[in-house]
Amino acid sequence: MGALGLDLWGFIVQLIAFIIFVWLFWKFALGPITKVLDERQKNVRESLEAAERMKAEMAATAARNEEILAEARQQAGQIVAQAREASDATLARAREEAAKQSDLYLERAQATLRQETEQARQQLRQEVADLSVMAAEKIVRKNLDKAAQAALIEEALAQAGN
Amino acid sequence: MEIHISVKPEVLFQLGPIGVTNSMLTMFIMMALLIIVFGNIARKAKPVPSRGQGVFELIAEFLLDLVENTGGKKIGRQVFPLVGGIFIFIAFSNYTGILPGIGTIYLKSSPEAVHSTEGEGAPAEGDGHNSEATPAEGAAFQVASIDTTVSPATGAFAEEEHAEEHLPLFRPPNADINMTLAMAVLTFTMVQVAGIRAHGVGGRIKHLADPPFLFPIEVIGEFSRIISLSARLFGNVFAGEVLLGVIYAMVGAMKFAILPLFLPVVFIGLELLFGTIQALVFALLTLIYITLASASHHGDHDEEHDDAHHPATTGHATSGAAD
Amino acid sequence: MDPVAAKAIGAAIAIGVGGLGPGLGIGMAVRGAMDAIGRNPEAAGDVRTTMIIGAALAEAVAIYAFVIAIIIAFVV
Repeated sequence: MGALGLDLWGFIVQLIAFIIFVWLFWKFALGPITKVLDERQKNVRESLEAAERMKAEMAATAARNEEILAEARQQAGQIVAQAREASDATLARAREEAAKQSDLYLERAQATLRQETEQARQQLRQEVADLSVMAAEKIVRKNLDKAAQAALIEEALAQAGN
Repeated sequence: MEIHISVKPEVLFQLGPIGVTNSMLTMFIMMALLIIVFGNIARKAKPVPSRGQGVFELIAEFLLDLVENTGGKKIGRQVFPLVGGIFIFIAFSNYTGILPGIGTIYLKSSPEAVHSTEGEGAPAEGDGHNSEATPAEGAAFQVASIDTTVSPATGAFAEEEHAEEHLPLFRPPNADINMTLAMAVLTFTMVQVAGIRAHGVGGRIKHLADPPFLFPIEVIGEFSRIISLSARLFGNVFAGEVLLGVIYAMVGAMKFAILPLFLPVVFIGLELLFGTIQALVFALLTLIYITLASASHHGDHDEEHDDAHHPATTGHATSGAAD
Repeated sequence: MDPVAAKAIGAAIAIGVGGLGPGLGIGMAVRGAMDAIGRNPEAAGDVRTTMIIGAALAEAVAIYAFVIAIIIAFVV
């Protein structure tokens, strides 16, 4: 074994030195850098999770926005429908009223017409009476014969008839 | 052609009963550098990484993924300090092997052997090493010279006699069987500790003696992991060193050619690759052994495979082949 | 026999024979990996990593042989 250079003291020294090296290297170099790596990994994972959360939140907000929009649209539709209904009702009422009014006017006009006709007729009758009275006076004053009298009346009547 | 090959690390000086070897010196320098450089990066770590922090985080994240995919969340995190330390130490130690000056800056132990070779028509690498070399402990140092006049065979075998004169100041830590054996023993201990912590002493023995007559073989298998782990790493790093040495010597022998100067680049790239792979293999096997030892063994082997994900299953198969 | 020559022959045989098995093994591993990548190009990264680890484990055997060769040549 000596031929290979095996030496008990050298072996012991190198064994102890290597154990101390491994311990020191872990304490001062490998351990701290492992901690840094682990921390970075944790950080990255956390920020990824945060991003994921943010994305979910954004999706939720978008969904809510969509919902609100849909609701607003629905409300607007409702309002329009209501307005249309109201306007239809108003129109119908107005139309009805107008019809009623026109009926009223018509009736009134007819009434006026009738009244005026009546009036005119009465006036005519009066005039006819007046005329007949006038004719009678004339007849009385002139003393006319029966035939002339009749002719006169006839004439007056014809006049009145026209 | 003189190539310096020494299977065992050379003792630089004696410190009590401990012979401080060149690989030990490199190991201490490497450990201090790793702790200082990476500790500094980790101390100044910010959520938004700088460039250095990015590199360190890349390595740490790769290892973290590896242990968590193989050992599961809990066991993986528990063994991460050991596996990470092993991977980073082995990988960066293996890279030292390709640095200029490692294995080529010599201390001469015998004073009469000192002679200056500077300006003696040293090969291309020589100039690079001059600036790297610093006088250590007042000892004379000499830049590696590759004597191209000696024939390969006799030179290589005659080299043994005056090996004591050549004292490379640095040597890759894992080209020392003591170092790899120390790491393998630590891994073995940790495997047993993990097994006992998960199942208790009785449970561990019962797990090893699954069919009772296989108990001795299982125990031998456990101990053989020490040998296979340490010998694999040692052999790879040492072979890489020898390979680079041979290539450098070859390039040095071809004095008047420019193209061969680019030859070592290929092998340096290969050594980089092998250094990383061997570090990964050592760390992965440590991880798999610990995972297997601490995994629950209520049923048959299928459950093991379910516990550990796909790298573990493939690793288990390959580790079974390696033992 | 000359001891130096015997050592040289021993080392050469050790690494030569020891390299055979791992060479075949790595070749088979790479062939399997290439088949797998051809069938399922998406898994190329995983397959490559596992293949490299497997090749490294097979190569370790050659490395053992190399160490033995070095020991024969320089130490024994």
